[in-house]
Amino acid sequence: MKTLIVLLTLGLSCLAHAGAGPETVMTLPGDYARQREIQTRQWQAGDELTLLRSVMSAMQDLEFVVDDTEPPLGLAYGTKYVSGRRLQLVVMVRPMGAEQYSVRACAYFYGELVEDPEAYQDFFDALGYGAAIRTEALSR
Amino acid sequence: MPAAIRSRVGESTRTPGSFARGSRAGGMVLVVMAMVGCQGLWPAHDYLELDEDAPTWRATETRRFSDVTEQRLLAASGTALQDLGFTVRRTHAEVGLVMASKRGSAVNPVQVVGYIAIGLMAGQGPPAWDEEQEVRASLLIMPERTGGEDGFRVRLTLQREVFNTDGNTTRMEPIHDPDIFQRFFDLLGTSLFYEQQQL
Repeated sequence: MKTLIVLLTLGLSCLAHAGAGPETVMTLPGDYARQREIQTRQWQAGDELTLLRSVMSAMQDLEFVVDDTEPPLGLAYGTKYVSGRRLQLVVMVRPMGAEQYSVRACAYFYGELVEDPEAYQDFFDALGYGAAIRTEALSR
Repeated sequence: MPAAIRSRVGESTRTPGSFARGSRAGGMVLVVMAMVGCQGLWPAHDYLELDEDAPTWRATETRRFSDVTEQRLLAASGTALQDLGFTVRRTHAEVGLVMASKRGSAVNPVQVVGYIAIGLMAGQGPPAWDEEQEVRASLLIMPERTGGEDGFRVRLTLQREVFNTDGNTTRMEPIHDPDIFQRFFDLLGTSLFYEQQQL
């Protein structure tokens, strides 16, 4: 009986360590359309570079240090230290029409994609907060 | 064989009933571990929520400048960071961004003395103490029109990673100390003065 338990444990341990093969690397997750939806918002702005600056300003409001940006690609990414771990945020801005842009944010905590819709809503709220402050400053 | 000895030699002292109870408890632990393993250590969703102190930090970490071009402000910001020992890693003039980092000492004499005392009391070597830190900085310039006057808002954000004498990370945290930011902006003002004087 003991031998059986030991063999079973070893077998399960081997299976657990085997993991998934590389063939799954390019497989779309089943809920990718929903993930894209919760990570994306339509945004109005004068131009792409101004919106990119607003994105980085929102990242700073959320205690991120901006790691880098690629303005021609509308890309900005940053890191926040949370409880001794890295929370990384990658944001992409794409033009959609006259003064209309698509903003997509992807957050990774400890290397894994954050899937919580509330987290993304919080980010877009922060982006709106910065815009509201600038509008208020303009009216002063 | 007495129960204590049976226990010491690894023989089970459980009755069939207690074994079943133990298995159930063990099973539950395994289920919980499996759930934690599958889910990963997800952050609470509020890690992307604005902190209630965000307006205070924004005020501490931001200064407004006028009567200066963005290019001069960007150059003066890079110079001020370099004067403070930072290495400017990259700049993007088209979006007013400067990224820099700095490595320096993180030795706290109080911690060192405390750890040596702990080591002596424990009859061992002292635990590894904080030795070095890497500070990362991003500085963003935002054009701003306030009260009919054009100007720029400069915001600096800082965070640090602390390493101990074993080379392990002991802390990763944002920096919000108002004095640190005041020192930077004082230096930026001076740097801007010299930039404008073309010195």
